[in-house]
Amino acid sequence: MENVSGNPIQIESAPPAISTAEQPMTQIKHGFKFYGQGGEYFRIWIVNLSLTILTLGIYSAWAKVRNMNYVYNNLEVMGSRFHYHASAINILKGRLIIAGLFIAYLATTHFFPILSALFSLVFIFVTPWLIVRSLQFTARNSSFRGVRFNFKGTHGAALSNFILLPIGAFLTLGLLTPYMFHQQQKYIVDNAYYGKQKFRFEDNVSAFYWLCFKAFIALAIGGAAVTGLVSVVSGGVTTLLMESADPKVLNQTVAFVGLAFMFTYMLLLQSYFNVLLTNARYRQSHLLDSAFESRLSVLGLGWIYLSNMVLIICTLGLAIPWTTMRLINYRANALSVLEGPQFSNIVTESIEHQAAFGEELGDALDVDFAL
Amino acid sequence: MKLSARYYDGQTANALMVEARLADDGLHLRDQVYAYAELNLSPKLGSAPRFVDLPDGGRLECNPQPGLETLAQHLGQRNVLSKLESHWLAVLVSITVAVAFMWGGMQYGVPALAKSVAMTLPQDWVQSSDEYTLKTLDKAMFEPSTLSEARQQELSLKFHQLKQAAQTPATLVFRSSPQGANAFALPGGTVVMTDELVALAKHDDEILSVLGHELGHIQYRHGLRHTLQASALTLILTAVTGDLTGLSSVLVNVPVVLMSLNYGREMEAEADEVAYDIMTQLELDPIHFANIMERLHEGREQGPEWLSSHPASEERIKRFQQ
Repeated sequence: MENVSGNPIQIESAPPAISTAEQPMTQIKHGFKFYGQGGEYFRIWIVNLSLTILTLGIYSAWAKVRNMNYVYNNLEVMGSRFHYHASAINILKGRLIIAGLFIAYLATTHFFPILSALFSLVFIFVTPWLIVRSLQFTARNSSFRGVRFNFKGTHGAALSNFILLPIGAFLTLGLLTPYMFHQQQKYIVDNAYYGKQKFRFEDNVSAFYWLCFKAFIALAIGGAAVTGLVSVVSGGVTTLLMESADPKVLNQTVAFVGLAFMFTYMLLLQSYFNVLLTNARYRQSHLLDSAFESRLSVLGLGWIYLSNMVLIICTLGLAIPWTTMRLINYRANALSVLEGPQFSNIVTESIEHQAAFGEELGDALDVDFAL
Repeated sequence: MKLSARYYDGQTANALMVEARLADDGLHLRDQVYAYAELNLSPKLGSAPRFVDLPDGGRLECNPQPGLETLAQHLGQRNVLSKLESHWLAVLVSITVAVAFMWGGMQYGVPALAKSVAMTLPQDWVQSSDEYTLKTLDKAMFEPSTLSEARQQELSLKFHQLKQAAQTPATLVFRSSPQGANAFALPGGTVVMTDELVALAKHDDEILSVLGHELGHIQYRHGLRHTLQASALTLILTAVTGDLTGLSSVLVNVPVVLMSLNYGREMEAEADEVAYDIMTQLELDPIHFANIMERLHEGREQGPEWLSSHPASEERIKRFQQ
């Protein structure tokens, strides 16, 4: 590294000799950091939105690339940022195809409802294919330190994890549900690659049973609590306003209170499940000698979901850029990489750019595993 | 001009701090010179770092710095978008466009679009779905009508007059329902009326007024329009909010449901109008519609208006009492 126009300084620790598997590892913990700002993103988002409107939706593909890159380029770990490479033209093609299929589906099922049975059969086989395409699309178009991610899951496994297992879970009245979640996460992580290096998902089915048990208890207790609370509060409101207000206003107030409680409950429940699932997924994920740590908290995420919802409704959607930044910032702050000594040795896979059939459809079904 | 960057060699996940030099003949990095024509600089995006792709697969990640502007000039890159985004006037115009579009689209655009699509589709396309829907409903909630053959014929005959007055093809079928008095129209032109509604009416003209209302739904193809509107609205809202993941799906569904109910209210008013027209045409007293509406809503709990699919019945009734 002489004769350079600058002075290259190697900032990562020197790559060690290939270690034997049993060697004790010294992992360095790096937190994710997110630098996106609501105000800045708002300006990008609103210009994207109005250009999308003015071009009758065609610009939406370019808008997606730009929005995604605002998030990716502002997401940092180990001092480096992520990058999103997707081509807007490909995204546009995919969107047009999906829109056409959707219209065709709507039309045929509306006019020939008898065909909807046939459609659901077709859908069963198309869905796994779309899931694979989608995971592949996101992975292949994401890079970190110039090394692209990849996804190599098979369609058969997608069919069994995302179609057959849910049916099985239904038939066993939910007994298989935790196993289904485990297998789905395993499928997503275990088939993901960073360069040539495969991610590894550590099997721990019992952790998922415990997780679902906790979520189920929360569902039951929360549901009972909300039902009780709604009846008490609406009863209180009724007696309070009985004399003063006319019945119409009274009914409105009671309905509003009921709805508000229901949504709060649903959001908190969703955040609880989300937290448990995300934390478990990262805890069980490994990349060579590196590992991950996610420490989301239920109240933290629940508060963000709830306040974001209020903000979006009160501003009729104009606060979406701020709420998006807040959510990503919160999730990024909870996530860390435990970098193993061999991380820097991971090599890129030579891209013999596979223009796989249907690659364009990848963005249509948003099965993201970003964060 | 210097450009300090993190360098990735395109082979490994290793990062190096480097300093490149921007000269007239190209970018000097390590012992290489890359011509500007071979380089690709990612577009400017707020204050985020930008990436320079080198032809050999290497990559530079550069924080915002004067060198980046120089490089952009060498590459002839103008970054129009970034200039728009940082100009307050452009942002203001964008906000106006977006807000006007969202409001106008939901208020007028989606309903108008659904209407024109629904009205241009040929009638026999729509008809085929009714048979299937009715079969499903029969299984789920209906029992055969217990009205006498003669009574059914009598009502059908009167319904025929209504059809002619409204110039709308339709079929009337009788059913019995444990859920009580009801009448509704399927998209293809089938009107279902329950025995309980016939029993509730104190005058046959009351029944006719309700049937006239249902004919209004058929004439304006409300069933089909409703489906189209709900799908269009879901698509738009997902397009606006769904470009980044993380938002709860609940968020998208709340406005869709509220807006769909709203469309329902407008359609009810439209159908009321048809009922009123038919009644005046056949010289029936519009008060009959008001009377049966009042009886239908008696004892039924009324939610707040923004949560109901029918306009507050008092309002509707008043129009027919004049």
